[in-house]
Formats: sequence, structure tokens, C-alpha cells
Amino acid sequence: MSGLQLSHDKLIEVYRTMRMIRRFEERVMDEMATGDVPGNTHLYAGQEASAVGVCLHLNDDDYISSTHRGHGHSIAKGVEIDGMMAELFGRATGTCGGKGGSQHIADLRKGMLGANGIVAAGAPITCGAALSAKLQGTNQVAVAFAGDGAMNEGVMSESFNLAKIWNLPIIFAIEDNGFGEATANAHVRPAASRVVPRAMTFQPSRSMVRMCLRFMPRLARLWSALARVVVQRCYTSTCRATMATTAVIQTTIAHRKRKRRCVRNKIAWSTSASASRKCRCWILPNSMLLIRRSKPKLTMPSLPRVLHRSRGCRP
Amino acid sequence: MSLIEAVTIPKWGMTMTEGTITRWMIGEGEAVARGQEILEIETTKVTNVLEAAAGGILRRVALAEGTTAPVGALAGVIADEAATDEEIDAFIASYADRLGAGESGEGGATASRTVTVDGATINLLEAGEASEDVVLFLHGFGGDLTTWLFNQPAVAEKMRTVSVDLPGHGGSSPSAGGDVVSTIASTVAAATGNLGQGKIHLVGHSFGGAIAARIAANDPSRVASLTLLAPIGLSKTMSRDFLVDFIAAERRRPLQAVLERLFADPSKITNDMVEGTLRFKRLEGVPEALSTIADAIADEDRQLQSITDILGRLTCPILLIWGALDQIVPPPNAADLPTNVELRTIPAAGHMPQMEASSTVNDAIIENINRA
Amino acid sequence: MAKKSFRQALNEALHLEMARDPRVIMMGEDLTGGAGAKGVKDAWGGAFGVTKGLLDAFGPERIRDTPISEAAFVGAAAGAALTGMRPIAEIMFVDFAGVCLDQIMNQAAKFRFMFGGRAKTPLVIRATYGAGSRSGSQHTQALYPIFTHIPGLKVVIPSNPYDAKGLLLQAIRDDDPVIFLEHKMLYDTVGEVPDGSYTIPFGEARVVRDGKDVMIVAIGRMVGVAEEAARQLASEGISACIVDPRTTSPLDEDTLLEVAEKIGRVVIVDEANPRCSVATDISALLADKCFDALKAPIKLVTAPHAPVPYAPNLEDAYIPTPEAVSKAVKSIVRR
Repeated sequence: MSGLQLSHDKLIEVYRTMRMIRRFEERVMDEMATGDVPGNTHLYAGQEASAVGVCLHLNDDDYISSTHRGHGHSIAKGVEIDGMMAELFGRATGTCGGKGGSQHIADLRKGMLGANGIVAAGAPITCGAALSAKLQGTNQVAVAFAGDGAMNEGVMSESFNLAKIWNLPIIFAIEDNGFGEATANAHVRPAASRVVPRAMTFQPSRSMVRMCLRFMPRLARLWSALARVVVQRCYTSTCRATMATTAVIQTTIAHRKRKRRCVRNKIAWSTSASASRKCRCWILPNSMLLIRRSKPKLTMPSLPRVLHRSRGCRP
Repeated sequence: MSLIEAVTIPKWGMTMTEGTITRWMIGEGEAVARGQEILEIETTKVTNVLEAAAGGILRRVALAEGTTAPVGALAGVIADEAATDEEIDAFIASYADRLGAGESGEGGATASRTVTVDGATINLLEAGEASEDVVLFLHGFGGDLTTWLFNQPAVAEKMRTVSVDLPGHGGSSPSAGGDVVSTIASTVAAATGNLGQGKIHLVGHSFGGAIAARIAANDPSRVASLTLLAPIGLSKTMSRDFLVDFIAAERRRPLQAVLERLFADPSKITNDMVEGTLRFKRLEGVPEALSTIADAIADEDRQLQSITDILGRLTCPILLIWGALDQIVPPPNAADLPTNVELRTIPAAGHMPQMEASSTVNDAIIENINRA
Repeated sequence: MAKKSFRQALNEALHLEMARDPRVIMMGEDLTGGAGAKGVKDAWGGAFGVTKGLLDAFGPERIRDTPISEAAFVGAAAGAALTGMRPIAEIMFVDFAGVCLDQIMNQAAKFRFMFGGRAKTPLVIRATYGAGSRSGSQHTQALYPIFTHIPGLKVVIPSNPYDAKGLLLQAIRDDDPVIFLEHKMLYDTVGEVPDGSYTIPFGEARVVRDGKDVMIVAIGRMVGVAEEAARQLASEGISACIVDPRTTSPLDEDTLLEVAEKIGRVVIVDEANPRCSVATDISALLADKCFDALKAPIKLVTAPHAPVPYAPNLEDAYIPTPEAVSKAVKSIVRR
């Protein structure tokens, strides 16, 4: 597998955003220790790559929904930092006027449908946003972030099902950090029912399509475009079945390659960034993206050139 | 043979089915003259007073105050001194068989129908004995033909009557734009064009009065008499606030406050009246249609229509009836009126004399019709 | 004016508004009936026939029969509302709201507030409610107290066909989440309903009948029960004024207070269970704001604090009757 095909400038931007998230979270942690931040918050430090990796390829009018651990997704999507910090302090100048707090940060101008204090609740809401985009004929996609703990909520499976039968331009990005609230995965899920097998029940195809994070949203738009065209022309169930192809992709991110580039460009690289640990990404176009921290060895996938041209395809 | 007259619950309006006796104004054994007010009756729509149809003595009160009874039920018996108690008892007993005979109202059959004119639908209510001439009732701004519920039945005893829902009111569809008064006048004239060979006696209230004047001006040979109740187009000013507030009120309490300005005695307003008006105003397009009419009627407390000249040129008898306590359209100075017009003021009435002093108004209408 | 049934009035409202506004979409179980089955199309038009004909008029993109996933499709409706559509989600029986209460209570109801007023959720959730159909405890509840309790939701309970159409049109045009409850036993009742569009504002009670001896506040199907009781009372010389709040949230406090102050005696008849109900809510409001005008305690005629029984005689004993209302009235009116 070859390297992630991001330009040098893009990589810097990615790194910068990741560092911003990390710095924000560190600062929040400091402020909480002083007792000035009301209530509670959940820090995203260590998971920056997944938020940035996905949101990098989204436009302002694409939708995301987040979890209770929403700062990373918000920053990656472009929500203003100042407003976010003010919101945590309960100020009127906050993103939500001080009415929402950490777990309800939202900015619809940036397509951020809200962090959510209820685990898995963002999934069906994001299905709705995707449905909205599909019915209004826009080119938007919607990404629902959720954790591995959320996979155990019934509404997640309901949402996968709904997304599938309605062929929605939605991606479920599942961030597996090994824990649901304070309980480890192994305790709450049988070994045989890991995320990917569970997702496989929603009929992905067997073909392996090489793709990276970068073009997944574009691919989702393409699928959505095909879906929409077919659906508009014939409402029969056979057509729906044939075009409901999804693929399971296994990709990994090259830690080393990134580090090499940063060193070449004399940018400091913090080895404490836990994104430096391995992430395994499971990408199911129009369906699911699973980013899971696992073993060493991160490598970059390559991308067929044709997918470059899928950007801007109209449904 | 003694004269025994039944006092029964009257039918005021097509939808009335029962009434509640709120007050007997004379007691048993008291003398009563024909036309004297004897009984106050409350219906879901309105409260009004019943007059004695014959002179004599109120011999028996059959229904006490507070009783609710269906239309046509026997409330009391008026007879002269010669009638014996046995005769009266027999009369009362026999009355039970006659109950239900008068369901169709005083003076012949009532029929509601719609007429289509140039794509617009006009709703009419006809009542009365067949006659060559026809009395045409035109209601005012924001109202409908039930404005005449105390008047049409009375006049229908004498001759054929037709009351009309103006375009955009009641059951009639809105009229298209342009000069609102002309359009409405011509639509109404067209809708009532084939009522018969005879002439028309026009009775118009408020804005309906201006319409009536315009119809008369357009076709004077067809109009036999004109009776106008507080019409638009004679006084210099009017309360434009009433029009604006009426259109703006979307809820019961504000609308009730507005409707109360129409009457000298606000307690005349019933819940059904308010609810009926609300239901009318909620229909899509109605507020806009009413605004168009309001803009044609008045402009910052100055009336925009003028019918003084029209009236001056007509040769038919013209009677103006005005409530002295009218808060909406003040009575004009007699000096400003053309000489062929008679103005009659009713002391205790507001802007709705046809409801507030119905018997006086009915007598006046019939008198003016007879002059023709 | 034509007489139409409650069901027809709702159907008309849906037709009119979906034609007028392309952003209105509907989703729910069996909205058409037979979807996916060969040769079957719009077999039912909804479990109670309310949505018949809409599929033909507007197509499957706008009328969506959903899987049995209330949480998913009510949540999707909330998300679609956030992002520019005006969805109407149907919960077949309001009892099923338990399955999707998070999406209603924590999500849709709170978006506008939590996001600092910068979001709007023009969502309508229609559901059937009420006892009388021998459907057992899980298909007969009147859960409007629960929704009334939650800030951010509007709760609408029409009692007759005219109100049903006007209130539904208002609900769809409203920019906030509205819970629109239809009593299953009212679908066949008829009344005069205009053909065109009209809206009835929320927070506007209807004075059903004027009277001066007692005020009877009645909700939903209980308005008919109160009217029957008022007829019985009239023959005994007691004149009852009946007030139908139409919407429990927002509540027309002004009308309730105005009439209570004028009359001084109040009976509230409510089909829902008595604890923490709309009846107790209104009672507390009146006791607080017009205590001095009250001439007698406020009487509540409600169902018992029990689930709805299945056996017909037990269910009939459960639902408040005109006789029970008359009895309550007579207990506070000295004649």
C-alpha cells in the first residue's frame, strides 16, 4: 500500500488541526482543574486523527453529528474555537449562547448538528439530515460519529437499517477506543460480534475497493448519486438490491510516513500524540467507517484516479 | 268566540333550534298591547325580545323564566277577558299537537342556494311569500346574511326576500381585484338579476349600504326603494381602528372586544357570534380580502366612499336608519344630506340597529317599502 | 358547508399542506399499507385510514413507510427538521412513544434551546391515543401529560373535525416540535369543515357552550362527554359553560381564568390518569390565580390510577361518563 496522497500543505493543515484539538483539550483539562468550568466534559485527546481525517474532506454544508465527546469533531468541522471555549464556560458569547454546554455544542452554519449527551442518539438524526439532502437534491453527505459503546444501542442498528433501505448519503464513523463509558469492550460484547461482522449484516459486497479516508465522502456522494438516479427511474426492489453495493476496506495510516515528512519540514512532532498509535480504518461506503486503534504499523492506501473526478457529481 | 293567541318561541335565523326564556316583561293577568315587548329570549347566537302579536291579557304563562324550549313551543297565552279558563286549558292542551308545524319559520319556506356569476359563487337565502317585487338584504363589512336574522323573517311575512353573502363573506367566494365597490356591486346585481320581473327594494347595512347605493345608481329603474342602516359613504369620518382591529384579531378575546364596539349593549354578543366570526376570518384569503375592502372604505379616519351624490339623484324613497350610539360610523349632519333622504335615529342603538332594535327597524323597512 | 369526518378532515389537511409546501414529508409505520408486497399499494392508508390517497398524490419519496424502528425514524424526522424539511412522523399508538422517547424528549424538544436559539425543529409527531376500543393497556393510554410536562414541545389535542383540520395545518406550519394527538374513537365523528385551508392558533381555547352555573373544562374526547352532561344538566336547570383548551401546551390560561372568575365553580374532565395530569395542572393554576373568585372546590373527573382494562365493561367503567360529570357538577352547585 502506498502513501496517503495528501499534498504537503494539506498535511500541514491536517497536523495543525490535530494539534489544535489536542491543545484545546489540554487547556480544557487545565481549566476544569481550577473549578471555573461548570459541570462535566469529555476529552477527545488521542482520537484527533479520526475527526480530522474525516472532516478534512467535508464541506461546510456537509453534516456531522457527534457524541458526548464532541470537541474534536467540532473543531475539525470548523466550529470556532472561541465560541466553543466560551460555551464551556457558560458564556452568552458561546456557540450556543451558553445554553448548551460541552455536550451540546452545535453550529448549523458549519453543518455541525450537535454533540449529544445521549449515546447513539446522533445516528438517527444524521439519517434525517442525509434524507434531507437527498430529497432536496443537494450534493451533501452526512457523517454520524459514534463510539464502539454506541454500537450496543438498539438505535444504531435501526439507523444502519434505515440508511440502507432508504439509500442515504450517510457515513457512520465508529471510533473504537476500547471503552464504552467506563467499561471495556471485552466485557460487553461477545468476541464473535465485533463491529465489522455486525456491520456486514447490512449486505456489503465482497469486492475490495481500495480507498482512503480522503475520498470516502466523495464515494458516498457517488453512491448516493447512483442510488438517486436509479431510484428515480424505477422503484422496484431489484434495482435497489443491485446498487446497494458496499465494500469493506481495510486501510491504515502511515505514522512513519507522516513523521518523516514533518521532520523533513522541520516541524515539531509530538510523540505523545496517541494518534501516532495504529489506527485501523474500516470503510464501508454509504454505510460505515470504523477507525480502531490496534497494533503498530500504519500504512497509507492509494486511490484510483477516477475517484478524484467523483467530486461534485450531482445526484 | 274569544280571541286566544299563542305566544311561542320564535325561529330567529335558519340554524336556531331552541331558545331560553330569560325574562318575562309582563306578569300573568296583565294587559298587553299589540307590539308590546313581552318576553326576552336567549339563543346561542343572540338575545332578543319578542313582541306580542295580539292585544289582550296575558292569561297564562306556560314556560317559566330559565326554561329552554324548542322553536315553536308554547310559552304563554294571550286572550281577551271573555275567554274562560276552560277554553284556555283546552287551547294549551291542543297546542301540543300543533308543535312542530311552524318549523320552517314565519312567512313561508326558506331556502338557501348558491349562484355562480363570472366564476364567483354567491350564497343566498330566500324566504317569503311569492311576490312580484323582492326585498334584497345586503350585510356589512365582516358580516354575513345572518345579520338579518331578526329582520328577514319579519319582512318575509309580507313579501319575497333574499339576503346575500357579499363576495368574500359567509358562503360566497372572494371577488377579484380592481375597484372593490364596483366589483362587488356588479357581482351582487348579476347574482340577483333573475329574481323576478318586478323591482327590488334594497336594504343595506354599513358597507352593504354603500353597495346598495351603487347598485341603485347603476340601474335606477329597477330599484323601488332604498333603506340604508348606518351606511358607509355619508359621514365624513369613521372608526378605521375598528376595521384594522377586526382584521387583526385572530383570537377570541381580542375579537370579542372588537365586536363589542358594534353594539350599544355589549352583553348582546354571544359566544356563537364570536366563534362564527373567528371561523370566517380564519379561512385562507379572507384577511387579505377584508383588507382590500377596508382600504376602500376608509383612510386614517376619513371615509373614502361617498354616496351623497348618488342618493341625491335617485327618485325612489330613501330612508336612513342610524343608532344614536354608533361608535363605528357616526351619524351625519342632517344638513349634509340630500333633501330626498329621510334620517331616522334610534336612541339606544349602536352600529347594529337591525339587531338591537329589530322591531323598530322592521317597521321602518316595511313602511319605506310601502311608500314605493 | 360539507359535513366531514374527523379522519377526512385530517386527510384534507395533509393533502392541502403537502401540496402547498414541498418540504413536508411523512414517515411512519403502515402509512400506506402493503408497501413492498407484490401487487399491493396503499392498501390501508394508515392504521386508521388517515393517510389514504397521499401515496398516489405525492409519491414514495415523500410518503415513507418505515420499518418498526420508532427511535430511528422519529430521530430521522428530527434530523430532517433541523436541516430544512418539515417532516410529519406518525407513531401508531402514543403508547409506543416509550420506544423513542429519547428522540422526542432529549433531542427534538431541546435543539432550539440547547443550540442557543440558532436552530429550529419544525417537526410534527402524530399519534393516536385513548381508551374505548378494547385494545388493552398498551394501546389505550392518554400520555399528553408527559409531553405537556416537557418544555420545548407543543401538545395539541383536537376534539372535533373542524378543530382537527385547522390545528393540524397550524402544527405543520409551526416551527417547533408539535405532538398532535388524535383520539382513536373520534375518527368517525362528523362536523362541518370548510374545504379550503385555515389555521387555528395554539394556546386558544374554545368556548364550546355558554353557561353561568359551572365551568366544565374538557379535553379531547371528553368534550363530547361534557356536552352530553351539559344537556342532562340543562334539563335540571343547571347551565354549564364548557371550555375546550385544544392545546395543553401552550395552555390558554387567560380564557380559563376569565371564565373561572366569572362563574366561580369548576369541574375538569380528563381521560388521562389522575396523578400529575393536565387536570391537576389546570386545577393548580386556577386555585393559585383566582382563588378568591372560586365558590367551591375544583372537582376533577378522571380515569382511575390504573392501566386501561381489556374487558368491555371494565373499560367502560374506566372512562369518565356524562353521569360522572353531572354528579360532580351537582356536588358543587347549590340549587
